[in-house]
Amino acid sequence: MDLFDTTQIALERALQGTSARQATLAENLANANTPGYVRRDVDFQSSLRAAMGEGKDAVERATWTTVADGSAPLRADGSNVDVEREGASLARAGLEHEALVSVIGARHHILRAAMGIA
Amino acid sequence: MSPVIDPSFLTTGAEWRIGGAEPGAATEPASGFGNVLGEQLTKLTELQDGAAEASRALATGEATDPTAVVMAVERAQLAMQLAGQLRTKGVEALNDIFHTQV
Amino acid sequence: MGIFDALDISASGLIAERTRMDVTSQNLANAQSTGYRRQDVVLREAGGTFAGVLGRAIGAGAGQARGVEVAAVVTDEGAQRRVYDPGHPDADAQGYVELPNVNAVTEMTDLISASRAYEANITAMQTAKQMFSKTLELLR
Repeated sequence: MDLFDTTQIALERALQGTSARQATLAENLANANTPGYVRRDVDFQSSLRAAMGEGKDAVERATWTTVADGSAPLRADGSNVDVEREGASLARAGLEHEALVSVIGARHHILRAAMGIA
Repeated sequence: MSPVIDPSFLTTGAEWRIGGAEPGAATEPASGFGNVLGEQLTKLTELQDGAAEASRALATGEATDPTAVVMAVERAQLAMQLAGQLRTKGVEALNDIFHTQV
Repeated sequence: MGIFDALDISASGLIAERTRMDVTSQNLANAQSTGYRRQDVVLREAGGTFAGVLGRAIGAGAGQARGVEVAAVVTDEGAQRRVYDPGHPDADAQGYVELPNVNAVTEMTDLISASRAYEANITAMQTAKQMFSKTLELLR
């Protein structure tokens, strides 16, 4: 008996994704002044989108990696980390995380209501 | 037995109405409880599907308005709770009928 | 890459920027001290050494938090400023004193940059804590 549908699995994986993204952005910020450092990012959303078309198991097993992002402009010391941009991305990741947590919690409540528990 | 508060606000967004009737509209004979329950289940399924769709969009980053996603899921939760209450009250009513001394 | 790794990474950033601020402050404080040579902080990505990269590649250091580290604090071996001041106790035979080539503008710029990065790392830490806190609320 499957308690959790594909959407629920996808939501939980997305939660791990935002967490990984936050850690990567934190690493960018730690290396804001490291010469020659290229900023990194995690695009977990593309992986999830691709996996959703292939069913629940694919979503459960979906992985993502940190990739170097050379598109940002280079500074004189060879680092392309823009503190403000990383901060903005960090704020967005935090908000996405909170929204996901709320939605997951609400769907758990729905499950409980359906089962007849309060 | 028509509901005191018309739950169609869940899907149509119309004003909450006390008495279950539009002001000025002709009143119809109350439909059976089975029909009411059936309608609610249909609306419930629609809301659950809508919430699942919105949640998926949020997970894959396609959701343009996270607030709308949260509201859709909240509506689905309320609808589920309403359905649960309808079932409980319906069962209670049934038990009352069966235990009525004739 | 969980919350604890993220906290370690931000902490390494805080330490690195603090070091930069300390060294810059020291340069500024000793701008007029004869015999002092200004110093620079060299930062590098933590785990960027051969051993670190190899370890990550074979999965041995899979749980290692990365971040930044201070590779070295190097002394600036460039030319010192020569200032003509015959009255100075350390003046040489021609009346010149060798003072540190500390440029106040450069040092202040470094200080501001380190300060901004420090605050950004604090924000990253707070975001990580907040995200984990929200996740814990699911259990309630």
